[in-house]
Formats: sequence, C-alpha cells, structure tokens
Amino acid sequence: MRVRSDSAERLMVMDLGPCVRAGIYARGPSGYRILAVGAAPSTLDAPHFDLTPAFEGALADAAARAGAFAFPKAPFDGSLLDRAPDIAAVTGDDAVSEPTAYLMGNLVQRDEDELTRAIATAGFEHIGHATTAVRAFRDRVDGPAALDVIGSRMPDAIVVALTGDDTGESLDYVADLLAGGLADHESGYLPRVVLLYEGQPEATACQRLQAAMPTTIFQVYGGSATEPMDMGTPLAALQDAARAVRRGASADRIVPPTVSRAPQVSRAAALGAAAQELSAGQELDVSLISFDYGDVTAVTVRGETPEVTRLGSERLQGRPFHLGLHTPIDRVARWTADEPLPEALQVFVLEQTAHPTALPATSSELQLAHAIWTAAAREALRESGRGRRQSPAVDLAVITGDITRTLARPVQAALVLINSLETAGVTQLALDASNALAMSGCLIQTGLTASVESSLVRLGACAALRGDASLGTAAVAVEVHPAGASVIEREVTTGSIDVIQWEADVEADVRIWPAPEFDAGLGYGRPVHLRAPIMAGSIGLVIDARGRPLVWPEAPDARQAWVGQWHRALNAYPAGRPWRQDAVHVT
Amino acid sequence: MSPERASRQALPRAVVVGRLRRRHALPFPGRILVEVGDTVAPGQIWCRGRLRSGVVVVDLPRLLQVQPDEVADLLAVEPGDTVEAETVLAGTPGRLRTSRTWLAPTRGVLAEVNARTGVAVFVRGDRDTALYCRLGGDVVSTDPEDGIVVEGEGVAVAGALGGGGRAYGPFRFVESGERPDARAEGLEPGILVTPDPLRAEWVRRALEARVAGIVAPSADAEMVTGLALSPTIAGLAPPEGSYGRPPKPIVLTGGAGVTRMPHALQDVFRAAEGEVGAAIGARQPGQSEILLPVVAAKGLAHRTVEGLPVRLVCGAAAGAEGILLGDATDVGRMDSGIATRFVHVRLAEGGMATWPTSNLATLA
Repeated sequence: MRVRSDSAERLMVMDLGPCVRAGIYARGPSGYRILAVGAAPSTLDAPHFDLTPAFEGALADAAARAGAFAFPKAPFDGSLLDRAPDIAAVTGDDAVSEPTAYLMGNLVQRDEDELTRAIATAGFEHIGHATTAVRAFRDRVDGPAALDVIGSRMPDAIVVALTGDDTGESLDYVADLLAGGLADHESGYLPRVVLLYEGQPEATACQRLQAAMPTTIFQVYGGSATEPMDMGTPLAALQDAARAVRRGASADRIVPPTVSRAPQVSRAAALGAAAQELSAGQELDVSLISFDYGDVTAVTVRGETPEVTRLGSERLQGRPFHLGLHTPIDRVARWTADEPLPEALQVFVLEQTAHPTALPATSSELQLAHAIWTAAAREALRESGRGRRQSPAVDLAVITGDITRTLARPVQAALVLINSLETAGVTQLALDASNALAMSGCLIQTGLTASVESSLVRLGACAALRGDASLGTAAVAVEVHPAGASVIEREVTTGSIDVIQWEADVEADVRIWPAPEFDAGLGYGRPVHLRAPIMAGSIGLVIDARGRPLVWPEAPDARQAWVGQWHRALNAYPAGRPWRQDAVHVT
Repeated sequence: MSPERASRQALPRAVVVGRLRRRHALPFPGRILVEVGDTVAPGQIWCRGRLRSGVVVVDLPRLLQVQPDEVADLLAVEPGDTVEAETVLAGTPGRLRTSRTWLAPTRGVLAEVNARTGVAVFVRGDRDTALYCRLGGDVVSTDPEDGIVVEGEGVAVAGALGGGGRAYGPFRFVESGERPDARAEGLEPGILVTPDPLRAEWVRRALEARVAGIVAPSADAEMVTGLALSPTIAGLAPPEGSYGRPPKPIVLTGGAGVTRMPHALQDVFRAAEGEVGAAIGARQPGQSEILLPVVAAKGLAHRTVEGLPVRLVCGAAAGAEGILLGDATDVGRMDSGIATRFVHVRLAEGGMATWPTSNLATLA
C-alpha cells in the first residue's frame, strides 16, 4: 500500500503502546533514516482515555532530543503539532489491533477462498470458520459446536454467507443460533453480523437477527458451482463492518485526527518487513526478536519469506507483562541468579501490569524482567514449531522492542538474545537501541524506502558451541587478532561463558578450535577460521561453551550458582542487593 | 517554569481534573432512555434491557436424529416452562437417558423452540437489567447499536488493579481504624474508601454491610489473588476459600502491595464524601478507574499550591508521596543500572528524595 511519494524531507511514524513513541525520519540518499524518537507515557488508559497528551508529550520529547532538525517547518516558534511532520504510519498493539472475524456459510471452495481473502483485505483477522461446500448448511455444520467456538474466541464480527438457500431454512437456522445463543448474554459479548445472502432473505429471520445484534444484510450474486460469487458487495460490506468495529473499539478513547487518519500497520507485519529488508540488504539469515510489554514477536528470515511468531497474540486482556503470569515459574527462575519466590514474581508482574512503563529498580528486578522475556521468547519460538531444543543458526540476531528501555548494559542485550535463540556457530549480534525497527518496517510496508540499519548498534558476535562434555573440561580455544594489536588467546571450559573484548571499531581475525565433543559451525572438533573479520562492537566476542541444547543442573542451588557464574563472567548485571531494595535516594 | 512542564508531560498521571468524556457501551440490545443534550447524573439509568444467563442452544433434530417437524412431538415440556436440573426436555420415546434425550443442565426455562428448524434455547435465568451513567454531564451522542457518550466536569482517578464490574453510589471515606460496617450501616449502599491496604477482615465486614463497591490503595498478593483481581500464576493456587470472582467492584489505586493511600488522594475522596460517583473495576489493565464529581477537586486545591504532588508507583517504597521540585540532572542511573531521568521530590513524611520519572505518577 503506497501512501505517498518519497518526497517529504521529514516523516513521522507513531508507535502506540504503554509508551506513545514518535519516530522522526529524515530523507537521505538510501531512504528514510531514523533521526529521533520521542516518547511519553500513554494516556489511552484511565484516567485519560485520551491520546492527545501523550501524543504532544512524545513530540515534545522528540523536539528536546533533535530540536529544529526534527521539526524544520516554519514558524520555528509555532506549536509542535503544527510543525510536526506528516504521519506516514501508525503501529503498536494497543491501538492497532486487527478486528477479528468468524465465517459461517455454505460456499463452494473457490468462493470460500475468495471470501476469506476479502475478509483479510477488509482488515479482519480471520480466526475460524464453520463452513460447508454443500448447500444443506445445517446438515453439514454443527451449529451449537460453532457457537461454542464463537463464544470462546469472541470474534468482533461473524460473517454469514449463504447461497442456494431457496427454502430459507439455512438462514432461519443461523438466526436461531446467533440470536438464541449470543444475544442478551450476561457476558456482554455482542458481535456484529454481516449477512451475505444469495437471493432475497426471509424478512422474519432478518428481523430476529437485527433485533438481537448489530446486523447488516447484503444480497450477493453468483456462488454456484459454475458462477463465481461477485466479491464487490461482500468486500464493501466487510470494509464497512471493519470500520464500525474499529469505531466501537476506539470510541472510549480520544485519538488525535492526524493519528487516527494515518495508515495502520500491525507490529508483526512491520517487524517482518524490517527483518526482510535487513536480510536482503546484508544478504544474511536474520533473526529479530521484539520483546515488548505484552508480547514477544520473533521473526526469522532465511531466503525470501519471513517467518513471524508471536506469543501473547491469542490472549485477551494480555497487555502488559502478563507473560510472567502465563509462564510457569521454573521457566523464569532458571534464567535468574536469584530464585524468585512465586509471590515475589507475582508482585513484580502485577506491578508491571499496573504500571507498564515503570522500570526495574533493582538488579534482581531487572534480572527477573529479562528472565520473563527470555522465557516468553523461547516459548514463542517453541510454539512456532522450530523446537526449543534445535539450535537455529543465523548470521545476524537483532534485539528490539520495549526491552531496550531496560538494558542497563549492552551485554544484557546479547545475553537475552543468546539465551532466547540458543544461537549456534558464530552469530553477529545487534541492538536496535532506539527501538525503531518496527517503525522503519511501517515505512517499508507503506511503500517507502527506509534504511533499517540506521537504528542498529553493533553489539559484537557470539561463538556458541553445539555438543556436550563433562563440566570443567576444556571446550574451546579462541584466538582473536585485532588489527594493529597483539593476539588475544582464551580457553573456555565446558559449561562456561566468556567474553573477549578489544577496541570497538577495530576488526579482528578470529580462529576457533573446539574440543572433539563440540561443533563451532563446521563439525565436531573442526577448527573454524572466520573468513570475514569481526568488529568488536559494544561487547566483543562472546564465547558460549555451555553446549547446545542448554541443560541445567536439577538442584536449584546449583542452577543459581551456574547462572550467577554466567552473569559474572560477562559482567552482565550490577552486584546484587537484597531483594526489592528501591532506587530512592534520601539525602 | 518550563523545565517542570517538560517533566510533567513525561509523567504518568493518576488523577485528572476537568472535562471528562466517557463512552457508555451497549453490551446488549436495549432501550436507550436518554437523548443527545440531556443532562445526566452519575448513577442515573440510561438504558434498560434484559439479560440471560446460562444459555444453551441445542439443535434438536441433530441431537434426536429426527426431522425438524417431528421435534414438537418429542418435547417433554412446553416452551416457557420452568424446570429443575436433569428434567427431560425432549427425547425419543423409550430411549430415556440415552444420547437421544435432552436433559435440563440446570434449573431454568425452555425459552424457545423454533418449529421450523427445531433449534431450542434453554436459559438458566432471565432478568431485567439497567445500565447506569458513570459520569455526570451532558449526553453528546447516542447510537442505538453502540451506546452513548457523556461529557462532563469531574475528577478521574486511575485504578492500578480492579475487578468486579461497576459500582455506583455515594462515597464514604472510612478512616484508619474505623470499622467499615459503622460507616455503611443504615445508609444506602455506597462506595467505601479506605486509606489502608485491604485486609480480609475489613473486606468481610464491608461486605456484610452491603456496600456497592470498595476503593483501597493496595492489597497484598494473596489478597489480590483471593479477591480474584489477578489471574493466578501457574503453580500458585488461589488461597483456600478465596472468591471465584470479585465479590463486589473493587479498585486498587496503587496495586499489589501494602502501601497506604497518598494524602493527596485521601483528600480527594474526603472532599467527595457523600457525593455520588462510580468505581469501575475492570480486569483489563488500565481500564479500572474511579469517577468523582468535580467537588472532589477541592481536596487537591491546597496540595497543589505547594507544587505538583507525586507518588512512587512501584518498588519497596511504592506509595511514598511527595511534591515534585524539578529535574535532577546530576543523577542518571537506578540501582538496576538503567539510565533514566530523575526528579527531586520533597517527601510528605519529611526529607528529600530523588525518584526516577518512569516510576512515579502525578496526583493532580
């Protein structure tokens, strides 16, 4: 969907979440580059339900960071709202959620496929169907079972498409189901119904539906085995319904017109586009994980099509940090050097739920937050079918999302990435420091050229070994030869993790000699001499000799000691203080 | 003072005073009783309708394996009849208690049977219901399919956690040490406000006094789970005897923990003593709130003279209150090592503090 030409000097992308973020982009020779990101706490929730203050706050923050460069429009002393660049796109899970639709009907396969496409084109997420290719709808579709599914998934709209219903029995049946089963229900769930009917629908059934729930009725043409259904009317009807659902969903909230009018791009689509661009530009296999307050999105690009996996998309009311509530505690605890009590985890998650933009005050809370995100990312990757125990080998792994606000040290980004992906072989690591990749992806999705690398910070690389051996035995020897400096040699034992640092912008030649029990990318025991030199970035080269797949000692004490050793080896977290000490400095 | 204004925009606000706008959604087809331009009061009925509970839809021809026109002969009770649980509603003769028999799942009514399709609807309960205005003001729009929107002056207080739905009624501030039943006895059900963390005994007494709703600053994790204000963590079972759902609308202004209500908020609720308002306890984070009439703003007046009241929202010192003095440019990292902005705060209990802006909220 192309919305404008690449002519504007400045463009803006809004990201609506617990923080409202305004990404200001400047036009350059290789496309739009991120110039500044301003943020303010979202005011879409109580007590405001009005995005305007947060929108203005985000603009003010962007202006404070980039000044006149961000808002070059005259007059320079005018209101920021007047001087702000055009909004090219809006993303974010809070306000940019696709309405959902459930399809019922009797359509030949060809028309069902077309209608499913029309549902998606109209802006709905198609979440299920109860359909048959046979005319006798009620004979082939178990209506009460479909009603159970609808009751549990609560789609925003139910699309009913009936053809060849000469007796009106199918329509009567559907009206019985929907009016009898869903209307006036104490749950308060009331979907919109879009009835697409071939022929003249029976007035009584239509009236029953319209009296029970918001129903729009349209006659459609075609739909037989020989004559395809004309999709013009259905598409228009579905687009109307999608607009009505969006109006209803946002009516509680006041959104500035400039934001509501802008094209909307889902975060998953935006991240997919950004990852694909990154992969194509660098000719690398790329994994990108966006750790956000209510969701974790993992995108892997190998070849042309990005594979997007989300955790949390299925959960109603799952906004901020509920990941911690849905994740068994041992899956979280195994990533922390402290053993969080269930109550402590619960309090932390509830605090983050109530105050999503609050930052972890102590090292323990920070470890817990990163542990929850790590567990969630692994869950997302496992659910995608790739399997947690398989080590995905990618050339570049990128971390982005709300987690970037909580990264006290760059090495934390690397650790979360390595633990989430269980990288194998040599992987370059990058941090989307300004959390702008999704916004850049929005620009790409709207047909503009964006330089996705412009927001990335090079972290370094990780050499991770597949295999297993006795703890404490030598696992790998690594030799790093930075240009113009002396060689750095390091031997790392099994079960350990270590890091070699050298000057940030200096390239280094790297050789790796794994023990016979380990594979550094070319086979068990085979040495690796990287063809291309490695840039140290912020952290250098992480040598991960913990083995793949990762395994932990059974005993909690041993497990904590092990994780603590990893953290100390990387200097990942500040020295621990007693649990729940706060960042209040009384003078 | 421009630096403070810039800071304020970056701070989450827990209290908003001024013109508010609230949509009142229609969750079922009902009769809207107000029109655009009408002035409404908090707690006023704006819609009436009927709600059904325990609805079961059964495709009788499919269940009984008969033709739709045979269903009428197989009904054991008449539509509209009230029956006890396990009563046979329809079945094939001679085949009782087999899969070809439909039994009432609960006590309820066979609400309808469509003679043409044979689809039957069983309902456990059916009652008249009314929807009430959360905010006093003017009706600015009505939509028979969607609901109404009301705009008016008032004070909105954000709820950190909540549940149990909506409560309407006069606010009654229960001072520390005062019994909730003493404040509610003999009066119409109201919304009880306590400045102390919720305790089980307090809640029990409040419920015995037939309150409309409860507003408190916090409750410990066990109470939060026990009152069904949060989903349980895997492996953390709800306490013995806990509520399956919140017994009444409950809103926690601070969240989980043992924090007291900040003085600024206490003053807001004290100023609204006896005034009708609404407490909305929503499970969805960010949706819970308390709506008070504009008179509640008087409680804030003397506080804001000194400066902007703020509170710390999380961490061990959560609930601490103070007056924002300005940006702290010389401090950059929290104990966790995260770099963020800080502000200087004069603490209500005396002394000065430096708080991260991300972890505080303004109270005015």
